[in-house]
Amino acid sequence: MVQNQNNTNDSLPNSRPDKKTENNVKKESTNNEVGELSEEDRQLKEEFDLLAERVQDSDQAVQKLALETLKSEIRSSTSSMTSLPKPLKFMSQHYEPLKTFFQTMVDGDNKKALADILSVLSMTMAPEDSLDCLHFKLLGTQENPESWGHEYVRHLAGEISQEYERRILAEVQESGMDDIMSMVKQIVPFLLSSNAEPEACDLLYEVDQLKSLVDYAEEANFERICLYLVSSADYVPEPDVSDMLKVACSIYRKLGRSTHAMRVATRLGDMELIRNIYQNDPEKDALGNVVAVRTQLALDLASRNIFLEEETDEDLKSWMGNTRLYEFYLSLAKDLDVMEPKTPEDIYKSHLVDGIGRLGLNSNLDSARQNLAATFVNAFANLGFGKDKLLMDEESRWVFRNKDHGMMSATASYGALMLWDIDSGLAELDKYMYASEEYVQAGALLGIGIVSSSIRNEVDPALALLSEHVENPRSSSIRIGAILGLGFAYAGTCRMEIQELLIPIVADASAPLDTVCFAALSLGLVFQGSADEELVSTLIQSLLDRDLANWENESMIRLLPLSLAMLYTGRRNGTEAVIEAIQAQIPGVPGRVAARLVSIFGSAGSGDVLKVQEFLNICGLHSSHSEGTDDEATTSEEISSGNVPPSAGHESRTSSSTEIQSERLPKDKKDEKELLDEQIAACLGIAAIAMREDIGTEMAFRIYGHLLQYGEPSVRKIVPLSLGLLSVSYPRLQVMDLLSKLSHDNDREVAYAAIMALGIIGAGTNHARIASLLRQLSAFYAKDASGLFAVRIAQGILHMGKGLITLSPMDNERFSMYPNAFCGLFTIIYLCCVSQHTLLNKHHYLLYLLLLAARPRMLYTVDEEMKPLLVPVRVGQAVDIVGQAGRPKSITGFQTHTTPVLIAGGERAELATEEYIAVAPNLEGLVVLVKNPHYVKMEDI
Amino acid sequence: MMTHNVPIQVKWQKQKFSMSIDRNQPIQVFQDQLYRLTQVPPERQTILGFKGGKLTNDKDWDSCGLKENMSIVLIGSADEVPKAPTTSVQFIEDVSPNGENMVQLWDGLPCGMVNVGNTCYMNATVQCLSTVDCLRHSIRAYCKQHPIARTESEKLVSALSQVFVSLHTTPCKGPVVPVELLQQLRKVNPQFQEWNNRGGYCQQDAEECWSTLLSQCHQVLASPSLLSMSSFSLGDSVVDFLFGVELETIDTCLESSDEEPRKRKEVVRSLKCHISHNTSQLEQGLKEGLETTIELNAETLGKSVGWSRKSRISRMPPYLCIQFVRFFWKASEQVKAKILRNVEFPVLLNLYELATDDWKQMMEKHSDAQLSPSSNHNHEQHQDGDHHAMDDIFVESMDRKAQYELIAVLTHQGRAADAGHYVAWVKREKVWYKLDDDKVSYCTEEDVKRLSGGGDWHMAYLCLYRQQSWKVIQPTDG
Repeated sequence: MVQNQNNTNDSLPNSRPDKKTENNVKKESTNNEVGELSEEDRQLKEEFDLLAERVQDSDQAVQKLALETLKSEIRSSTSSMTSLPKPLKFMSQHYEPLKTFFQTMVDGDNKKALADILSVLSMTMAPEDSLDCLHFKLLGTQENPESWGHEYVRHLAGEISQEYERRILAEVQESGMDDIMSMVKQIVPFLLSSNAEPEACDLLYEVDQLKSLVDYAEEANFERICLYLVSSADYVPEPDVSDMLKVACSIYRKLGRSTHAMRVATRLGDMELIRNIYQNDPEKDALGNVVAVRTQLALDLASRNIFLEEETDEDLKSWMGNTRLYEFYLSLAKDLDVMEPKTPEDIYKSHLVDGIGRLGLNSNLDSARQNLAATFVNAFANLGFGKDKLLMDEESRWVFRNKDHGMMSATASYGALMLWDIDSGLAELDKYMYASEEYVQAGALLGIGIVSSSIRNEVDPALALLSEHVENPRSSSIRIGAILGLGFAYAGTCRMEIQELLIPIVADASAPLDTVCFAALSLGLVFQGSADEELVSTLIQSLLDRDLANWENESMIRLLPLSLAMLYTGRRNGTEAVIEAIQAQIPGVPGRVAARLVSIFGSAGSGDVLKVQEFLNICGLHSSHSEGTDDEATTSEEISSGNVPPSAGHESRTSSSTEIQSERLPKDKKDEKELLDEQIAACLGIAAIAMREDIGTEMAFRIYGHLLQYGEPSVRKIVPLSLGLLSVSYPRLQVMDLLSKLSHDNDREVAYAAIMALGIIGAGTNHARIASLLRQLSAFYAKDASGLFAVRIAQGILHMGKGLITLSPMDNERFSMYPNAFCGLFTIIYLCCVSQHTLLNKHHYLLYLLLLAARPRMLYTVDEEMKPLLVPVRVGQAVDIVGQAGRPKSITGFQTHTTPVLIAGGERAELATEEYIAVAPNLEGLVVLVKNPHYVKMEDI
Repeated sequence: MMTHNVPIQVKWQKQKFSMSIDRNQPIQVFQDQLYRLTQVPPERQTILGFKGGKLTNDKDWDSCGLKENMSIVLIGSADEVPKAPTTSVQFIEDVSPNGENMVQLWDGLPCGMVNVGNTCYMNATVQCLSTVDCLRHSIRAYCKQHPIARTESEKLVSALSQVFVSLHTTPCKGPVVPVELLQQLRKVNPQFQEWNNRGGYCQQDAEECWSTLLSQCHQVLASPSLLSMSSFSLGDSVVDFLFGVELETIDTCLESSDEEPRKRKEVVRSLKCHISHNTSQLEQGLKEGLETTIELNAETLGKSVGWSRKSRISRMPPYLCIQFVRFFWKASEQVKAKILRNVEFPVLLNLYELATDDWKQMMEKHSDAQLSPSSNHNHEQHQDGDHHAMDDIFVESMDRKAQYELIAVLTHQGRAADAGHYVAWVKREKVWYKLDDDKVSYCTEEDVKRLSGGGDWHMAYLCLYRQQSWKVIQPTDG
């Protein structure tokens, strides 16, 4: 016997020498262990030795008996696998001999049985990557692998995917996959039935059979399957992302979970699918309450600014058009007792600041800057409340206590105060349209746009009122007011009327630059994500018409490429073509910047790691200097195409010499500027891409830490606002600390940006710590008008809507992006970065772009007739439960409240009563509740 | 036959109206109808909901797609069109010659004073005194009347006036350099010329400086010319009027009851807060300062015995200066040593307890009779009744006469009077400022309260209180 084994070992040509010695060593060690075995174990070992010997017996019957015994022994022990089961351990030395013997066996049941056993043994004994487990399994009986236990099935699944990949690479025809596909069909139901949905999904994904998951999904397992699918969609490359989401959507639809399906469909951005679900699914919904489901679907679409024109029901139309959103917002405010208007002083709280002196001790001397700040603070703090103590105080005539463009912002702030309430807003703004000052008129027009943003009104008052002023020959301010107003009012609606109105302006090469830029911005906002070809070519042409030599000095011109990029919001596929076209047509920096921006908007919130790496490469570049200008240019070219990573040595060399170089020649300055422009986009791009997903956010935060330390001074200026973009309305401690440090930076621009970013991360939260940080900053920057202005604006943003608002461009679960909100936020942050003076100068009214992202951060429960239905809910820190066994708690550290409640960033809510079931997939915003049919009252039991 | 009247629904702001349109009438008629209903003038009406967007006069009903029971929206308001105020608002950014930069430079902090060589004692004193508006205005008025200073005292006052003016110029144009004032101060009081062994001027006692400045002002401003010019009668001196505390002192012999108590009146310009082993409150220290025991010759006994001396205040000045007697001459070590003890001083000080009984009675009468002519009656009782008569002008509430509010603190940091550092903490327009030579910063009332001593931190040496009933007098000069 032993001799035999030696012979076969020698005769094996494939086995490598080191492998052999390894086996020998193993054998020796096992031999040594024999002495230490307990009596029981020794018996068992002897038994197995005997069985192994019998298996190789020449007598078929003996063989069969031995195989069966072995099979049952192993099976009985592999059902659970906390440690290496003894049979496997004792069989290890027989693995190779049995393998050799197997080759010599004649085909038949016994061979198959042995193949099964060898397959199991391979799980622990075969060398890595040998796929022996699978091979033997395929040779063995085709009985269901589940009988060998869970661990074996998982192992087998792993090898199947490896084998599949190998075969794909070897270009095996589809029919060649039949053997493993049948195996998959055996394995998947077992995994699904044993709470291993993630493994099942993985396996099907690996073998490109994800679609078949729809057939497997049923009531018992679909929740976990879909949760796993939509969560792992973040980590797979395009186009698998949409495949995964589509499968999840189909599963939800199959099981009548229309609101869930709609959520996935909106993330996919597939209008056909959305329509289809909206029209067909409510009747099939598992809840069986068509009205409630339809209402919820309308509300969900409204929150994403999607309006389906075909809806005829008046109520549903009004829900989908957001026309009554403000009622719920005000009702929430009433419930929380924050109806009393706040004055800017209530926000500044200067009595808490170490003796901030009042500017202008003389009462008839105002500071235009401070008044403007007060205007914004007032507008933001009382956002949507319809009441304030500044503007509506007839005595003060506050509008006229602002200077020039300040009057425009002040008048437009009525729009912010009346946000979402078109009727009152128009009534209030109407009279200002007839004022004699052009700035006031312009402000009224902008205000009309703001008040109608995200609201769909049948008679289109904004269009009717604004369109006639678009071509106002008298004043460019009025034109800008009307143009921007249209952008605000119809953001994301793709209304063709707007295109007809504004395209002539953009195409007019002789029009003033800022009018063109704002027209482009409005078009970008309205047609975001549409990839409208006519617009694309108009915008590219318009960019070419302009004197691009003046690019650096005109910060507003950057609105053109930005608008171009907005057209591709959320279109992850299909940006390559346009990027190529842009780079081919637009020369130099503007083209490169435009290409970057398109790529950012396309993959915003996708968490695409490759994109992040690409952007990081650009951020890490250091500006070139005189002697190496040409080399550098080529290097940066190569790097931007993603071929060559910048070497560490090169980086450190340039960084040490940059400070001296940057001041030497004007030509160098220009190079620096060129690089800077791309770096701004790239730096913000990292945040824009990573923001939606936790791990990505964490990594981006670290990346920014590195950029702060090792980046160019010009890149440092972008980091604070990038951090702001990374966690909008979600004041995480680490971000806050870093920004607080940066807000005292020696570089004023970094400091101002950090101040703004502090406002943005705390937007609408009333966060006490940020508030006190900002108050300290107001004392610190008391002597610096620009710094103080930035602090004031940040304070306004922090207290937005008295703390009832969020500016986050994602839903609270970070499931999908709100494109409107993202466009607004990114534009304002980008403009802040491009030029510190953009906002702090005469274009401050663009700050209202933030309002495109504003929505109440509430959970308001209603019944199917949209009457408030107050129920207890638990609100706590959200916990990641993807792929976890059992029914884990989805929140921790919760408190129980009665709706309506506020929900902060990173929090999640769940119903604290069994009496109702929420129709919405996640508890946020307006949520329709229906009675739980299985609910039994405590008393009844 | 189709009826001409088409019923429709009109929505205006948050109201809804049911109306009917007569097809045969022009659109203006409908607009007039709306005007009567909503007061929105036709030219400001925007009517939406018909085909083709906005309803205009040149259309007719057929092309508008008028249907029965259709609902339309009227936009427009009857409110008056807002107009800019007739007096246009002036902005700092426009007014100041440097525009924005100006605002960046000055943000409401008062001016500091440059330390020209151990002169923080003077800077702190001047900063504290400059909070006394009336003194400032009087000096200024005097200097305008007498543009050419003759005596050294007048020169000092004129220099002081200049410093005051620069300190109160808004916006501040940078710290004031008080060289001239310093020179005059050293001329009138050669003590301040003292040199230290390192060849620089010595640090001086701020209280010394304070009293020198006040007495010089007293000398100059006492001249009758001022009284004639001033619009309000100030008695014999502005300084005494502002700072003079009249004390009635009764010395009682402790050993013999035969000895007549000796009464007298004196006017001091500051109250002293004595700090003994158990003094921890300003009020306590003041009381101790006013009740002492002294050695006096008793005529009946023919020898020097112990007398108790008890002083009470018979006139409450508008401004009250309190000196913490922190320094004493330690003969053994030949230094002016300092008591570091923590003595808390209140932000609001009430001296009613320390007033004479007469004064208290008078106050009660006052409060009974409000502003009755009884002050004439008091005239006979008090030598300086005219002060009281004049005070009436400022009296609002009687119990507030003895109520004082802290407006300035002069602190000392260090272990000896002629060493260490002096800083002024003043309250202007309800805000406290720390004026440390040319370093000016905001501070809080809490910061000021922490100046009570007990460590090596700045501690109050002089406190300036203002009577609460005192109204700030604006300059009367043209």
